[in-house]
Amino acid sequence: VAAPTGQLKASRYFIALALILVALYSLVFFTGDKKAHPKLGLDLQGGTSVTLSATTNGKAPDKDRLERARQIIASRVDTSGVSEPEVVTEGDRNIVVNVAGKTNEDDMRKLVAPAELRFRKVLGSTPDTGGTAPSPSPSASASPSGAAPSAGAAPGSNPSASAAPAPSGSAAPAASGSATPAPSASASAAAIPPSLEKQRAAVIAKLGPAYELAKQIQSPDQVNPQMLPLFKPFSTLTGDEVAALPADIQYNVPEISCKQLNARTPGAISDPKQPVIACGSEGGAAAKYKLDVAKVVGEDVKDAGFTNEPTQGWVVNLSFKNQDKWTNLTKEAYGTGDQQAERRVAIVLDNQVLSAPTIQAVITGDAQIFGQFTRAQVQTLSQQLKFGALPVAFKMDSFENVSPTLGLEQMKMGLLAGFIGLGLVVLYCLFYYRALGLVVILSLLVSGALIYASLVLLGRTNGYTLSLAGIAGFIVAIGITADSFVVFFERLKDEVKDGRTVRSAIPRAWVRARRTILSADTVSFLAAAVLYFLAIGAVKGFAFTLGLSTLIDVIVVFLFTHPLVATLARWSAFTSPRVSGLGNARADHVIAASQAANRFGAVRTKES
Amino acid sequence: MPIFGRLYRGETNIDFIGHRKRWYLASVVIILVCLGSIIFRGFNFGIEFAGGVQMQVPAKPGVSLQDVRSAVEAQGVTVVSAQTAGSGGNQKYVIRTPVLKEEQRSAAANAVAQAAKVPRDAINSSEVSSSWGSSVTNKALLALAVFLVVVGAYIWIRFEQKMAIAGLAALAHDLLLTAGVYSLVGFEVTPGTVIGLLTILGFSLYDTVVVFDKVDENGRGLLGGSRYTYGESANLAVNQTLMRSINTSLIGLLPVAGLLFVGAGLLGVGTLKDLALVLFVGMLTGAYSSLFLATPWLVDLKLMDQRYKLHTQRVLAKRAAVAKAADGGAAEAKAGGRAKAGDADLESALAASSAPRVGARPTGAKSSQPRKRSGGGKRR
Repeated sequence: VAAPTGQLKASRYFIALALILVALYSLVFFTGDKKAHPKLGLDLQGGTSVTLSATTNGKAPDKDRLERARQIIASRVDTSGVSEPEVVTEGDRNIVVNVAGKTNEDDMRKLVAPAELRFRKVLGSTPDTGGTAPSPSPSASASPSGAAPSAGAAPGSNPSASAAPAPSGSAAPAASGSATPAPSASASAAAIPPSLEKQRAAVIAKLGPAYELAKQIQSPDQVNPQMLPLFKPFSTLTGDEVAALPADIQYNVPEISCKQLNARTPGAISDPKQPVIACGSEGGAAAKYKLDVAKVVGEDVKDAGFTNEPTQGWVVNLSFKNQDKWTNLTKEAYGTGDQQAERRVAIVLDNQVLSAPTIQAVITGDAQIFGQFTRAQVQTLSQQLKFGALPVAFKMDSFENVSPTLGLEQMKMGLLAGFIGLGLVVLYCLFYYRALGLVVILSLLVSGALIYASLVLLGRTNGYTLSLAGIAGFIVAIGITADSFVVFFERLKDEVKDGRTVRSAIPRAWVRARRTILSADTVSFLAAAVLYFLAIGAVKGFAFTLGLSTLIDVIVVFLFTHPLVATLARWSAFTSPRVSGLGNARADHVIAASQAANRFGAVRTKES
Repeated sequence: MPIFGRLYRGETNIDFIGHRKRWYLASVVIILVCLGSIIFRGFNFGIEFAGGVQMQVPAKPGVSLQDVRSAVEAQGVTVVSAQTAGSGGNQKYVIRTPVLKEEQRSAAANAVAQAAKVPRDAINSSEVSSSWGSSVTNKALLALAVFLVVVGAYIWIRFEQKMAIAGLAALAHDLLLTAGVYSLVGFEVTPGTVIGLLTILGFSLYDTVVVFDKVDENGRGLLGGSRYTYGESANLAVNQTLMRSINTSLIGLLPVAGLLFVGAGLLGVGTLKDLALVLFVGMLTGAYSSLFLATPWLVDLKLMDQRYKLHTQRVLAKRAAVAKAADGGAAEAKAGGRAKAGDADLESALAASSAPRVGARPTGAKSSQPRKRSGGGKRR
């Protein structure tokens, strides 16, 4: 006996659905930012999306490395000051950088350009006071020159790890914060690019008299505490503005902090031909270093590894491809071996000094860096030496820039396509199913309401963004959703054709349609799930919305469409042939019944 | 009765199974053409596969495509293609070049902006390395393989092994046919196309599953009785779900048509167009294959099973006997007699007009209606 679809039962489903809707929408309106619109993808609001792919000989890099690379890129993007950057790993080897809104295309390219490793002789160092305290240390002399920002972009890396034994020289990091006088670098003021000159002029104008004053300072220790307020304007500069200043000013003015120096565009100091200023940590405190031109670069590194030595603990072993260059650099730094001299070589990555070990001898073979390192420290350092800033080498796989105008247009077009599609489906359903078509419309509305709330919530909690491909997924899903109704209604028609009344046909049709709907939805959900987990790029957004719609379709059919049809069936006007669209079949049945009266008895028109 | 009326009432009696050799032949020819085209003509791959730069710039009045093109070429940059896309206020020029060096790209973008009289940031550019498209495709192929295994397993568990085989074979047919159409017409293949192609998988199988669901239902207890052969009951299922299949395909196609109109007509370039086009082609082939191929294949597979083969022979023999006894027409007797003669005649017997008609009142039945879910009412 078919289950009775009584008033009570139908209302139970409606209540369940209403509870779900209320719960979802109260989450939408009363939690988070309370804004009822989904997070839009870059292709809908405009922005830049860059996909970086690890180049590791076809093999996927290990997860830790990829994650570390992601963090490094993310911190670079963050310091560049763009709004709401998003840096995520995708699949097993991609990193996707998404920046919304208006962006400078060239800046974006620089951001993701792999930074280069530089070995620079230390000319001087001074603690980073950020202008809060007078600088206590002795100093180095100045060397006027311009630090030209430029985009060095070459993936400098060679995989294959094996710690090289370091027999000869060794470099020890200086643990003390003391700086020593150093020979001044040659005043080779390399030609300043015109764009930088313009930038510098703007910054100088902004600084006013403070700049003239700063120019007269030869070293940070010449600045006494009373002078500090005069340099105040320097502390308001952005990273890029600081980068436009001559290197000696960056170094000499205590008001220019390491925070500002670190905020320079990545690559700002990558030009090996320029002396530069960079920050690092010395004895746990931030320090500014004045650095010579880079005589050894990342590409010269052959390999880097780490070992635990009985006497020194954890050490980093370093070998070079161009041994001569390295030997010459250490010779220059070591000089006469004078203990008083600055005998250090700084290892510079991006805008920062990783380590500035003291050169203990002219190194003619592999180098060893030691100090009181932990295992994690030597691991990081050796990887940085080996791969540059990123523990994995990357190449840019795709770069997509959508202007906000086009984004808006695509958004409009996507919605338009949705409305056209929806309109066509609604018209067809009304034409074909008549009053049942109304049920389709209502069901689609409920489905739309559920989907919308889910989108807003997913955007808020999981960072899901709606892309153009996602909209396409929803539009395609209209078909799948509407089809569940088709399955149910066709069953209903079959049952009515068999001679049942609409009311008695519903429970029977439902039991069977339910089975089919679940099977079909399972297949379509599986397709979406497989696509979502395995595919990359726009596929993900598409698959996600498709899968989400399929799930919501099940909810709507079970909690809304079926109970609604059951409720409507009690209303006699609805069951009349002309309205329900089930009429032709019944009329046909009457004819058939009259033709074969014996076989179609009264039994048929009752519930069996 | 007009065909629409019969369709509407689900009373068609198209012999899908009986004439299956016809569909097979047609499909073999089409598939061969497609394969030939794929092998000899190949595909028209988008820049995502070759690698390169694509710049999209709004078309302002008074600026011709040629202006923009020559501006780029004046920078010493090769232009692979320059075309106008979209219509009306959304019209834009699309310029494609090979992969460029940093300075070249920048110069080309500036030249485009200048020639098109728009600010630099109104240009939408995308740049892909040549490996991007293939990495998307490789991922897609992996997804395809996993999907086939998972769904094959699902249908196997949910229905049976033979349905899984027939369903997946129909799917392969759809993919090949869609790929063939792309190759023949020369539509551009982009990662969006590949994505769309994967979605067709879901849709095509979805349709097939619904038909199989009905076949499965009709086939239950079939071996116990001797009223219908498996082929007849399957044909009945296809006819019963015919309107639903058409509805499904139509309702699936309508939104895609909307997408296609907007994507290809108004926007002219991009994800929407790529997706919509492949979906449109794929859904059409999917509708064809689930009606004309999947179920017939299933019947062929089933008839390899000795039990079903014997059952079919028994049914036809009995039918012939009844017909003879009732003196019910020479044609049917002949059909039954031939069926007894051997396997070779099975097909023609299946095609015989004794197959039940959906919706039409049964002629020989006594107690229960010879329709889908035979005996369903009694079991409950």
